[in-house]
Amino acid sequence: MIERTILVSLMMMPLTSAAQDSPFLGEWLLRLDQDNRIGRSAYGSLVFELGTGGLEAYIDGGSVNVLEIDGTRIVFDFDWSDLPDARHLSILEGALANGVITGTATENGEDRGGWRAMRSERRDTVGLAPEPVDLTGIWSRPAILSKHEFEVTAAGRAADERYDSTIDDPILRCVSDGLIRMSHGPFHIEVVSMPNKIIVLHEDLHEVRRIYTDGRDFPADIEYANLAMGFSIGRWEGSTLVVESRGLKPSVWDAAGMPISSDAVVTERWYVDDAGELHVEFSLDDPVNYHRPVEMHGVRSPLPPSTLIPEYSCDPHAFYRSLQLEGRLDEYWSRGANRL
Amino acid sequence: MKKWVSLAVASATALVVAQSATAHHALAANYDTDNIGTIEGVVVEVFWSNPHVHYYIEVANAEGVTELWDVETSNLATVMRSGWTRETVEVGDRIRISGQLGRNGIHRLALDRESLEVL
Repeated sequence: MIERTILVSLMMMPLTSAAQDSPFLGEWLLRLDQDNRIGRSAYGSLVFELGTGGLEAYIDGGSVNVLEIDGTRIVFDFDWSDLPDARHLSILEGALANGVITGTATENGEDRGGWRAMRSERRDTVGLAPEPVDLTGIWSRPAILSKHEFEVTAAGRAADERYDSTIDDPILRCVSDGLIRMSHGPFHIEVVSMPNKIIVLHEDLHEVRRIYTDGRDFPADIEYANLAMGFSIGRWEGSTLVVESRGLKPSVWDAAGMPISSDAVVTERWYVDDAGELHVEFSLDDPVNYHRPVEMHGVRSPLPPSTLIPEYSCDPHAFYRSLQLEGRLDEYWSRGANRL
Repeated sequence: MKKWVSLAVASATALVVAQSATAHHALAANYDTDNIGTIEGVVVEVFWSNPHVHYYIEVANAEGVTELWDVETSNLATVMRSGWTRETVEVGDRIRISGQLGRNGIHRLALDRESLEVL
């Protein structure tokens, strides 16, 4: 990894002077034409900032490397992982014209489809009169960018180093994998809009989530609630449902071990676009573990009401069987403090 | 394996590191994604359930000694969407399959379902 650090340093130096007046500075809504996991368009946040090394870029809150800038042309990389967890690095090359960056993505020289970035206006909803939208329906598994690396604190790194995904991952024991991971896994959801709450029925583990929209506040001592899905309160800002969740248990939000603390606050922005697709923009604010909020943007398509969501009963037998076959059962019992 | 990447633009006062994320199930932790292998043997147990379907297969190694392999695939809904049923692979079947091999020589295989041959 040292080699990459040196390479990045060398690449960043000539970019410094060009960065101050860069037309790329600011926040963009990034859209890749080809979702990295299931082949649909996927969205995320793209931010360009002026840092000590020049123009810094972040996708969904994790840094990416700006490789070239030449006027209105830019090249940067994007690290991501596919569903089986194989690592990838795409190169995004684009040009800015009329307020939109458009370009193409490649991986090892192979075409990975087009991309574009627009200034995000959807977040300017504070103060808008509520215009609730009926979200009732069955929504497909989400397309996501699946960014791979994020900025963790020393505490976050220590938490990750204690974690062994082959033995500590809660889903191995059929324990809920929690709000963030469950919301981005390869499963459908069914949403039931009610007058004072919204029910989300997850295919994954048959988890049920309630988002209260009746104006209630969080319960006292919510930080000790130790909830997999958190306690969620929603409000409408125009036609955007803004949801805040607290009370998440200290755990991980993905199988690889990205940590989440009991102080974490998750904010979601739910909206349906003109094409009828459901967007949910996640932001995980957890300063204990991350220097910047971690973001994710899932897009789900509407499915016919006749769509069957199969039962997801779960049996941990295979996990213990594997541990027994590999002679690791004693190791498992000794790791009680790591159980999530 | 986790990877840590020190950033060239890291703050002098804060340890900033980039860390891996986003897998649904950490297959990469148990399997070597670059090491594809093929095994042939007799199915002795089928675990037709979530979180992932497993098949346990007795395989004779190069010395003729029988070893028990743990073969893992996806969740039930995904497996069934790909056209597989409980009858696709049954106890007693002799099969040849390929997939990512377990790390560190452990007898595991992440099944590529398209590789299945029932012999």
